[in-house]
Amino acid sequence: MNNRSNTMKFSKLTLALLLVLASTGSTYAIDYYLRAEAVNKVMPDGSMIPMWGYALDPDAVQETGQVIVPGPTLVVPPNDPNLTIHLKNRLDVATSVIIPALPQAMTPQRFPAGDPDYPNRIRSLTHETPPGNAAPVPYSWTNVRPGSFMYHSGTHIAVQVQMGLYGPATRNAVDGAYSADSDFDNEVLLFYSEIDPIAHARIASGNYGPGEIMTSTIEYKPEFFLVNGNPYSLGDTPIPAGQVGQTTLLRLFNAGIETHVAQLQNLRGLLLADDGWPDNYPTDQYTFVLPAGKTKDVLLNPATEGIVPVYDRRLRLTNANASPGGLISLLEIAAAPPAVGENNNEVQTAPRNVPELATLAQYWLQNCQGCPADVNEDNIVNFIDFALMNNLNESPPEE
Amino acid sequence: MNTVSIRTRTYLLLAALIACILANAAQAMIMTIRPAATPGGLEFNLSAKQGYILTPDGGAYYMWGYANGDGLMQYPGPTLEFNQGETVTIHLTNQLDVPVSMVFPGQLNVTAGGGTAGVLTNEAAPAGGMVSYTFTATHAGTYHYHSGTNPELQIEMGLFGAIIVRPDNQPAEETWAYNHVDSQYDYEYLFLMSEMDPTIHEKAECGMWDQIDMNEYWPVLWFINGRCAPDVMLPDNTPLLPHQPYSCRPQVHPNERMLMRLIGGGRDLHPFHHHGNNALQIARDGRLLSSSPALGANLAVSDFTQAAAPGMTLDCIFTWTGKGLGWDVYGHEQDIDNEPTGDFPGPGDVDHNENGSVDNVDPVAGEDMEDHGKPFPVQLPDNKALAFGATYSGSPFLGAMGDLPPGEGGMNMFGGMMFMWHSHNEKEMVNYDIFPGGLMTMMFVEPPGAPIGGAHTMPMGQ
Repeated sequence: MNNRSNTMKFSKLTLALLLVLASTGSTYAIDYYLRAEAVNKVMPDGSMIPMWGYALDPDAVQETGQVIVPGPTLVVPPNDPNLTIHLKNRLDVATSVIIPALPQAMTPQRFPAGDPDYPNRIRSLTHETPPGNAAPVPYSWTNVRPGSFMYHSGTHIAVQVQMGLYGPATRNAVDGAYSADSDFDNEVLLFYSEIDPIAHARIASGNYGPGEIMTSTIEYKPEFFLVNGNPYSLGDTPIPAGQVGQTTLLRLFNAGIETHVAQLQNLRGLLLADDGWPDNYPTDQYTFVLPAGKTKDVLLNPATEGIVPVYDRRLRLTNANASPGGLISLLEIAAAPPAVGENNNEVQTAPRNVPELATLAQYWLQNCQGCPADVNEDNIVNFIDFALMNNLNESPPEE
Repeated sequence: MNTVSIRTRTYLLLAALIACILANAAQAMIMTIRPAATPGGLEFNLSAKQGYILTPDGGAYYMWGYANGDGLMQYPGPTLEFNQGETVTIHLTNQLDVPVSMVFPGQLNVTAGGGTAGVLTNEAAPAGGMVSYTFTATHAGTYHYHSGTNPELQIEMGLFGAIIVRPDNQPAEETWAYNHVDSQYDYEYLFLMSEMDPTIHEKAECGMWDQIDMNEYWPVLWFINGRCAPDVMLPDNTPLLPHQPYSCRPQVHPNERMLMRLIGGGRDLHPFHHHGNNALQIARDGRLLSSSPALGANLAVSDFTQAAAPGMTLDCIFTWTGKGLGWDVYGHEQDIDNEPTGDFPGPGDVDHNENGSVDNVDPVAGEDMEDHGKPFPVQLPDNKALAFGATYSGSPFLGAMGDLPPGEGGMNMFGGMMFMWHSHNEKEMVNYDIFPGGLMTMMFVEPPGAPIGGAHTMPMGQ
């Protein structure tokens, strides 16, 4: 946008990546190994919520990833638009993965004609991964367009999405979020979801469904409201969100059932895109309406340092009715770096949020070993160099 | 029986006289507060207080609200008015027994002085604590403020209000909402929408804080500018509603531009539906919908329901000409006691009422020419077959008065046309389950020359 040097850096990075990937003989398809599994999540009031989440495993065999809610951020590289999720299922029920905003070959699955409860009814929007499968089941998307997307279970969605089977997927264009006009320096994901503790307990204990104590989600009453998997608690560390003079891409997701309205305080943003579709003319707003399933991309261009609160203007700001809590995030805008000439040699590292770094590490592990230069000159070439490069604070190596 | 056209003309003369008298009654149809400017900028003094509001179903509810200085607690808080570019300081004194604060969504670089740090901003301590907020209103537009302390409870309790920032570059003789002629308006009205769950207020009044569960939220009262219909149609500052000073009585002449300033003040979205015509949504969150400032509101959207989500503001331009009705809204060339001819202007023009002249009436300003002279499509029944409302003028035509039985009518002195404006979430058009009420008002199209604003055109309920 209005920061040419960073635009240049982004392009150079992309170019470097392209060259490296080409030279290492990439097959032009990114593979993620996800594992669906039960996990308990502790809420600020100490209550333990049974959930289902995804873990990111390094390959089809090892199950070393940590089960998290929301699932890991799946980054589809700019030069590599084909995505395959290889799914393992360690739940007791069949599951699947869909991305509603992206075309996908769907093979709906029905209950048998003789099923006493749901004869012939659809139970999954696409092919299922059975419980305990040994070989991962692939779900593939080709030509993923740039944007912010949400992947989630396509099986018994009313239950499985509520239980936590959701996560973000992103892809950038080669020169920005969607184009050079939406180039950015930093990226922050805010992923909203909700928990109805009673529903979770009933589902986890097998007391949900026809003839059971809880027959449906019609009495849905969420008590916890999560940002990136956790409700706000007093004293939470602010999320680093770039610095004065830089641009930050704010990716908003709502995996909950309710509509939320993300309201910025002390800052405004340009609404770039809905559901991964860029607007021709981004609008300058401070409220961003997020109906269920929605993603929005917002470009921030802060002029002053400090804390920028982002909170749900539908006022889901409690943890089981205790205040403050729920959908509150504090973004931290750092001061602009000293002007050239005053600076020391310290690398400016506005740290990225943790899930994203983990994703970068994973991506580097799978696709990019040896690709970055030794950016921090510690004589080890590893994903930290890759993260530093991607952070755009150090020029990538010239080819 | 006399005829409509004669009385229409007589009335128009009278109206023109009144209009001359009122010519300088400018377009400030929104009651605001604005202190005198000082070299340091504007200094507002607000306080947070408790009080009671009244609802048309007979309810009286315990509230918290902002007050102007040490005035009465208000629901909503005072509408603050600044000019673009002015530096504004708001001093808040807390007279509640809980911490309280103010945030200003959409404004940039708000600094807080005094008080103690809260989650979203600095807070004023209970029972006399103070805090100040300073910012520069960099852009014109419609905004709002609300408490940044436990907002889920304090907004429900009433701690919110509207902000209007006037543009710095409008021509002297015109009123613009933003720095472009696309935002020019003749009259402006505020639609600050909210809702209420009375059980929260009843428990708060009794100090039963641990009984309040915000996850059980179930509103049954809905408000525009802090009043439920039909109270919205009482005048500003009516002594009947001491804590609810703001009315919502939109009025406009045909083809004039009405600016609707819509604000989602509560926690629910109230799709605001305006009958009569589409409106052009020209701005969102205090910014003109524009691809480039020089091109004005070139991204404006025409719609009949405006979705001002919680926290969001929308500015819309509404105009009405009767276009598309298929009949002449002024009843030109028609005597309601004669069969319409429908051939005006044409050879069939006749002296219907035998008053010595052919009833060839010139079109009036704002009239849709397509329908000039087209007949009213039905024969009105005899008065003996009608039931009457207080706002029926006795005539279907704009600016015309017809015969009414003694004691009927009288609440529509200039023969205006009324349209119900309301939440399109229709369950919100009640007061605690009693229809009609809630988030609703009546918009009046007044005939050309009729005065707008002031109690004499809308004496409803006084």
